[in-house]
This record gives sequence, structure tokens and C-alpha cells, in this order.
Amino acid sequence: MVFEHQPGALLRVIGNSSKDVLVVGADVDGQGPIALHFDGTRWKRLHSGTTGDLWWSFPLGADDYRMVGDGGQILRYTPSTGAFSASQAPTTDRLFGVWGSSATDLWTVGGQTARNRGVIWHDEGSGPSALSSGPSATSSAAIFKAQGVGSDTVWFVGQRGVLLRKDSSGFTQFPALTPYPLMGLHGIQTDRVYAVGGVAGGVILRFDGTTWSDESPMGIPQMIAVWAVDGDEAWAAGFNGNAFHRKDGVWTKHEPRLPTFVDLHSIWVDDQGGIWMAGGRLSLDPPTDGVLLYYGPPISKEVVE
Amino acid sequence: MKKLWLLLVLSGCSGTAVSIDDASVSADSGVGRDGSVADSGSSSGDAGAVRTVEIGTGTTGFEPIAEGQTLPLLAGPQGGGRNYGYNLSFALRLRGYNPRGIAITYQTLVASSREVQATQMLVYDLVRQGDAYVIYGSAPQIMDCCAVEDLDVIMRAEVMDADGLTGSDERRIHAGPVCASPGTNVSICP
Repeated sequence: MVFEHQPGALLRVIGNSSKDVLVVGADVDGQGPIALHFDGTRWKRLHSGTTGDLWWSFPLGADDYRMVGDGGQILRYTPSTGAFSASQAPTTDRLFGVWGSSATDLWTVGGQTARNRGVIWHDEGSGPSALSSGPSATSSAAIFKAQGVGSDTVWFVGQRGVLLRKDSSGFTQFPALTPYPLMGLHGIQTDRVYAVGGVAGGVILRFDGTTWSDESPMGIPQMIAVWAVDGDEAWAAGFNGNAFHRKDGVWTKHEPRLPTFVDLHSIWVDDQGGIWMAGGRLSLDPPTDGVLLYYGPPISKEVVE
Repeated sequence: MKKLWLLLVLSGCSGTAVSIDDASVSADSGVGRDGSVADSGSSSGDAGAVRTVEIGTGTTGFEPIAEGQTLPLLAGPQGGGRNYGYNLSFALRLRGYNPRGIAITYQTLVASSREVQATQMLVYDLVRQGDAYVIYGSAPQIMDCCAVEDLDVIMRAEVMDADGLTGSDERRIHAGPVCASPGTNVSICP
């Protein structure tokens, strides 16, 4: 356990390496979202100068993190200078996901969950803008995550089990395998993509390059986060501190139980094989009680301002 | 905090000894078994201890609720919108149970038909509040918010602690008047 009982939930942990890690999360008191950067020696508390929850982040390179969150906000953080810059998507909707292959290929997604409305924005370097021919799925589902795989393929997941693929031929919507939300998405190659979600019961889906299939173990609780390690191995985590591990084509519950009962929203395996998980009480708005778990060589818990 | 040293066999960190906080420590002897008078709910187990289970509400602590009290329908930050996007905030106050790793099942039922509209099962460590142990901020997602909007519903909880002691409570409340679109008081229901 690196951190626990943080006021705001920790919603995303990601990095360029085990010595360059960014954690972002909720803004429970309106004074700004929690944001922490680890340089391999210590944690530094970051002050973005914004308010509202930060739901997701993604490293575009060694010195360029992008983050999205409440009110359509999009932030850029430069670790070498400590500078934040903020921009605004053409929406006040909550943005839940961001992914990009470069600064001229940045996807941000979100929407209004209560109204089942989604947004997908693409930034080609001049700011996020709507697609000239966007998918119809956004008229009935908020979009939670975007993830690129291969050279030109980007996947999107959202409410109502939405599974969308964007490639050179445009958007393709795959048949939903669940009526419930899909909240987590990750893949490392075009035939190894995972999507997770569910409500009271969880779901783990896998794409083999042609079709999606349901790999959910019996009785699995809601899953929220997923990470593909290689062609076979993957991790998923979610409700009530539950985590599952895929090896040799089989998902099994991770034992011993993780040292938390809060919900896990993000999982990441770093370049050294260290496993990071972030979460909190995700059913609350704003989410609270942040935790950060790490499995790997001992690291510092020191936080400096 | 007790430490548990584990030899993890995980890809990329095989054989790495790591320290994690041990959340499964046994309850301190006698904790929660304070002989307080049962004021609601029911329980079962050995006859020597007084155990109570009381349903309440609250996201930052346990707040008692009265029979028939109106509770708002809350929208969670993620979920399905009308379907599985709303909840009634559950809290529990327990006496006489092992507070570590207690298994809880929440249900929300339509009072007139006892149709189950939400079920959530979880395991949690309770936190001390006064002379009891509590959990708060639980949010079993309702299958269809519009099916409980402005209706009497039953909030029900069953518990089983690590020692196998069980108990339950249920309360009839009135679900808030609207499944509100966040930031408004306008219902999303047709």
C-alpha cells in the first residue's frame, strides 16, 4: 500500500517507467484535484490550478502527460518544468478517457451518464474538435475509454456495452455482449484487446482480431480496469478491491486478497513488471477514499510539495 | 499496522519480496461486543452476545433513518444512466460483530411488490463511530431508477462476519421524488 485513505479517490495511475509515474484523481473539496508525480525517489504533489475531478491521464511521451476530467477540461503536464496548461473541449460534459499516439492524434471521450449521451473528440494539434462523421453510438451511450492498438486502430467503450473501433475505413460498432457499461479498455496489439465492466456482476471481454468473446469467470464482481501485459497475460480489477489475473487463457481471482476493499479504477504494469492499482469509493460523486497499491520492489511513500 | 511479507509470483517481478499492509488481521478480542441494547434489526448466532444491525444512510458517516423518511435518489459518477446509474445511499451500524472483513448484502426492493431493484454484495472493514462500528457510502445500483422514483421502497441488509455470526435489518423509506439529471431537479424518467 503506497497511499490509502486519501480524501479523493485516485482514478488513474500511469507512467513512462517505474521512475516516472503520474497519479491523478478526485477533487473532493473544490480546491483542486489530487495529482502526484513519482520520479523514482519521491512523490511530488502537483497543483494543476484547476478544479474538478481528473478522471484519466495518458503519457504522450517522456515529458508530456495529458489529463481529462470534469467540465470538459483537458490538461497537459510537463514534468521537466512542472508546468500545467489547460484547454477546453467543446463541451462541459465529464471526460472519462484520453489516449493518443502523438500530439496530433489525441482522442478524448466522455459524456453525460444520466442522459446516456456520449462525446468523442479528436485533436490533430489545433485543439479537440468533433468528428465529421462520428459514430451513432454516442446518441445513446456515454463513452468511458479510448485505447489505440496497432498503427491505425483506436477502440472505444462505453455505456450499454458499446464496443467501437475506428480505423482507416472509419467507425465500426460491434454487437454488444452486455447491456451494462464497459468502463475499462486496454490492448497491446490488434488481436489482443480487453474490455471490462458490468454492474452487480462483472464482465471481461476479449477481442481476438475478428470477434469479441466473453471470458468472464463465474461470479465475478464489477470490473473497472484492465491491463494487457502481453499476448496472453492480463490483469483486471474493480469493485470491492477484487483483482483477476489472466494466464494461459484462464482468468483466476488474485489471491491473497488485495489489502483494500475500495473499488479499483486503474491498473498499470510498468516497465519493470511492477503492478500499480489506484482506486477509491467510486460510487460516490465526487469519489473519495483514495488508495494506491504497488507490487514490486520497495518504493518511497514520501510526498513533497 | 501489521506487515505481511509475501513472495509474489507475478510476471515481471517473480520472486520479489514485497511488503503490503495486512488488511486481514483478526479483530481485537471483544471489539464491538459491548452489550449495547438491541434497538432494531435482527441477529443470530451464539446467545451470549447482544448484536444489532441498523440500516442508515450517509456518505461521510452513519446517519439514522426513520421509517417512511424520504431519501434522495443519487446519481453515481459512472454507470448506466436510468439503468444502474442511481442509488440510495446505504450505511450500517453494527454492534457485537467482528468488524474486520464482514460480508454485507444490500438490497433495494419496491415496497408494494418486494420486487428486488438492487443487490450488492461486498466485504468491508467497519470503522468505529461512537460505541458501534459502521460502514457508510455504500451505493447498490438500482436496475431502473424510474421503477422506484417517488415510491415507498425497502432498504435491506444482511451481514455475516468472519466468525459466521449473521444478522439483518430492513427499513421502509420513501425514494426521492425524481431521478434527477445531475445538477438539476428534472427527472430523466419519461
